[in-house]
Amino acid sequence: MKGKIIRSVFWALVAVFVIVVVLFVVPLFREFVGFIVIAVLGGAFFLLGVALIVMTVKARVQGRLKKFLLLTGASSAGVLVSVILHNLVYAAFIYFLGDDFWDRTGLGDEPVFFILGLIVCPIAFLVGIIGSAVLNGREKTA
Amino acid sequence: MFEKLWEMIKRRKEAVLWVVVFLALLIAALIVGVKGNIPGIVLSFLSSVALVFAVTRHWHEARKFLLLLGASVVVFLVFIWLYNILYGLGSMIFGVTETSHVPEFLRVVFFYIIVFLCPVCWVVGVAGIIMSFVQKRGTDLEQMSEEQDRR
Repeated sequence: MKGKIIRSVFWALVAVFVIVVVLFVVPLFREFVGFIVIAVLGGAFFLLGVALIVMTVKARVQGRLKKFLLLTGASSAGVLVSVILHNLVYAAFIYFLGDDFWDRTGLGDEPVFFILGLIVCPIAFLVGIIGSAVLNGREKTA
Repeated sequence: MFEKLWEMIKRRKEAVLWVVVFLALLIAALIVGVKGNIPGIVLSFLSSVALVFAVTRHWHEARKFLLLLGASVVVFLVFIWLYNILYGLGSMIFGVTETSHVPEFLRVVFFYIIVFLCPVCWVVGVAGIIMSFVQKRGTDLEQMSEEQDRR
């Protein structure tokens, strides 16, 4: 992995992801979950993702490592974007089609950005960090 | 006519395969049922992803993704309007509880377009624009470094 800054941003992303998972999964830490904590962690996750994309492009990282780093950055930035768009689209449908639209259609909630933010982005993030870490490890040993 | 169709399928095997995947997922979603059913919703989402991917898989230019984004926003607003009109007309003509099959079919199509297809097009449009800029930036930087090496 080229550049110490990319490595720092990458591991900072992993750290933030682990903190978020621990906060939600471990019952002991659930009392710390509040709007400010989630907003700060979400903002940090987004900014670190954008920083990783920009630095990967600027540092001229090549090959599969570039793809994995871009995947990591895009998926981490995509979580906050999906959350915001999910709420905006949900509200837009209520504005245009009435209060009962989501209940009437039987969906209950806006599906596309919900699936992207909650399923696709975390899986893509895990694939990205595992791929980047494996390729980085191979580079070191080679 | 069938020979021409077969020739077209042969020429565009990959695109045809993705359309088949789209249709299979859509039919599966319709069989399972979308209303209040998470597997049906996920299948509908995946079918819309397959359809958009079938169209955009070889695109590299930002202009095309920009067009896709713009078109999907316009289509979203137009089809929301049409969906509303159809719902209103259906309620007026057939009553709130009674619905005819034709407006019901159209409503399902409009619903699929505005709820599943358009948001996927927005995401693919924005991601495609960013990716094409990233690729362009990468090639520009390579050219600059080659020029510096020559000097």
